[in-house]
Amino acid sequence: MPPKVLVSGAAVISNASNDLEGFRDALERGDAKFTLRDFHSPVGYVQLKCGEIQSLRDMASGRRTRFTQLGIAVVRAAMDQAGVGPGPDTGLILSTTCGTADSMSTYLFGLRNDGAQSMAPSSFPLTMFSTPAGLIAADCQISGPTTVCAGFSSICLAFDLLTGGIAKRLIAVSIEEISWLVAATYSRLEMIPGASEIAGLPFQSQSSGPVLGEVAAALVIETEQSALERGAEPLGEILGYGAIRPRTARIDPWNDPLIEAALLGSMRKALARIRRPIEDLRWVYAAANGTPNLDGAELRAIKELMARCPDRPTNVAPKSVTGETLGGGLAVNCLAALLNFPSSPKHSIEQGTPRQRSLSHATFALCNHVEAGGDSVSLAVGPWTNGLGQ
Amino acid sequence: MSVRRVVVTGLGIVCPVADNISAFADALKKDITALQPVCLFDTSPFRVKMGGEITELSKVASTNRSTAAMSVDTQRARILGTIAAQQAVESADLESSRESWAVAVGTASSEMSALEELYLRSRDATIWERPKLGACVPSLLASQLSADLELEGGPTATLSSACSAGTSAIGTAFHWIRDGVSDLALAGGLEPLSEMAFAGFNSVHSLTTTLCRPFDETRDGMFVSEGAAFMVLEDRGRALRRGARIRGEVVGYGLSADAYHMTAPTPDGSGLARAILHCLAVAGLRPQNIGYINAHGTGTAKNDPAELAAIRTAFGDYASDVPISSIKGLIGHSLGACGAIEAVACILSMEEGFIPFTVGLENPIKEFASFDLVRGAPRQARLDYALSLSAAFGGLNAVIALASSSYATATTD
Repeated sequence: MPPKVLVSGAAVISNASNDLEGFRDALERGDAKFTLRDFHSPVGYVQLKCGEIQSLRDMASGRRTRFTQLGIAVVRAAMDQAGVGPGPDTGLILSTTCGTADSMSTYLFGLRNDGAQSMAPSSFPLTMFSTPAGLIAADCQISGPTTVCAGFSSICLAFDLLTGGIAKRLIAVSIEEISWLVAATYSRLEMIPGASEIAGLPFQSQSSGPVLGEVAAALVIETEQSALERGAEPLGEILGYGAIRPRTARIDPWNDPLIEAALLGSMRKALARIRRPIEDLRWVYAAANGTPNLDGAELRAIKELMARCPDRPTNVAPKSVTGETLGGGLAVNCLAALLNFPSSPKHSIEQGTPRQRSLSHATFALCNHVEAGGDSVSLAVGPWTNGLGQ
Repeated sequence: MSVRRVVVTGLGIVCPVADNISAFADALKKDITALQPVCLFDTSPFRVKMGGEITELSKVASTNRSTAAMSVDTQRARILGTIAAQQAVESADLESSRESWAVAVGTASSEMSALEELYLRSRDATIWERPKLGACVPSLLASQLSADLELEGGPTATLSSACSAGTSAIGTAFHWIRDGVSDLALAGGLEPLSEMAFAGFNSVHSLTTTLCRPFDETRDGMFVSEGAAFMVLEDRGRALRRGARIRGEVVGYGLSADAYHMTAPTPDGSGLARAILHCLAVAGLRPQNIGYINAHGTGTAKNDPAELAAIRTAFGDYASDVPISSIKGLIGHSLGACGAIEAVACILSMEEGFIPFTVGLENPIKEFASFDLVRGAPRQARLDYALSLSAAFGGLNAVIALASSSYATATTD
């Protein structure tokens, strides 16, 4: 039997809040903090509504880009919350969609405008996705299994490595920041509406598309044995996931006619893998981001999934608060699900310790996500039942 | 989920010295190098002008139905990936569209040629069009590759851990199959030669001005190259049932972080040593089981001694006995692709009974003179197990353990 995989700590830095309690409160209130931001780029000027992390806007220093600084801050906070120290027993899995796009842009413009001779030696390594992961690991002194992925959530990869016995504790961190390249790309591809249009309202008919958001989210994920041995207080359990790749590859999968089948397929695959009765599915944390095609497709897929089930799950769309956070989307949904479970602690990452409540029934949530490229992923998470209701 | 065995049933490659597996196996036995003047972009601003370019890529792409319409200037990564992946799928004797595939692709810079077209060569904003903008989303490449080859299924992952990405892609797919996530996977790495990487390694003074000489006292750096290699990985039981040709087996995967420096490895190799030990533990192997180590061996001042120190730490007394070589003197350093290319080299070595030698190595590093650094000519050897080591910027290390086809087919579960 593969080991149970628990989430024993978490942290988030987002437009809504930089602590877990504030994040949960923002989700409960539906408190979206979207602001107008100007992007000047080679493709011209664009003004977009964004879910920007305001408090940490100018945090880059030296070799630590803002992307890396976000990672260090959120991983440190998650380690503190979980009570995890440095060392080789903990690894780091970083996932991101656009990653170091900002460093890449800076480097290439420098190469073009100033020439090869003027390039600082340290600027090139910063374009590689592995460098921020390495710098986070160095700062936090994490030296266990560590890698970087894109188009696949760090939570899923961490789950695979833990159930496969390759690690006993991993920090799954997802980071996405809005650089001008990202803004220009998604704007020019007409995947995000202009600043004056109604957007970022999942499941609402007047929404014409998503609002881009940025986030850094870290989950300390470990085997049940590891968590119990060190007296951790789990936030919940990762039960498994399903992933489906459609026939087409699209940078704008939200408009893909095949997305409904892919979402239905990934949810079914997740349910088959976790072997829990569909009646226990209480919440779906949706991929919906305010794009009419995606939102409609997801609702139809959920309806089809639950066709033979009298009770419907509650559909929740955290992107109404955070915006579309691309590679951070699954982490946001997973965190929202964990914080909503009855057993979850009211807890700020900056103070206090979580209190634990008992739970007797094995309900669970599905967290949906659509990756750039078109893959649909459904992650099943539940409260930690400590053997109850299994 | 159950723990299953993971065999290799398909191989594909394109690199500067070969555009198919048979040619690559031959090249591994020759004293040649892919190092030559780079024509893909203007090298005049750089101290170094040489690299490992696939000069015939246009020709190879134009004769392939799947890549004929693609541009070698802006879709170079996609072409490399499609050619190698297609070979792997075809050699596995599978009708791709009838199967459910997991796909794991390793790459450091993805479709950099498209971004360079935008940033470095365009002064016209209208060039910022749909296909090129997709290049800022690296994961799109794995999806495109899957769509080009009609590989449906899931999951799909792009491993973007730079120079250890190809190894991590194979390791990730290994776990997917071993732990029952999928029965079948395409896994490998790809990397186009890019001006950005060339300029970057030039600026950090990592490029050789002479020849790439891994593990040599006089080594002065690496050369940047390009290529792609893919494997079809399959549940062993399924492969046996369908009578597939089993080329080898993936038996272990290890990862670690140095937690030390942005670019330099820990001088004592302790980070990489942990990944080696991790991999051996997953595989259930002892150092004495390993017949060959294909090293990362870049030929740079810092990598090579740190890597040999890592082997000394992990292998103890046996470190001086295990044959070690690097093929980067032959093919150069293809960043996100090199781990996959080197894994393919390990499979071919075990299949054909030889150990590739380190092109360019004449005078081994004095501190490691007692090590068995294979040089001068390929060595005949019967190999059951090989390790392939990779290390990346940020100190991200990845190691895979591979077993021979005779082990994979003869032993019971």
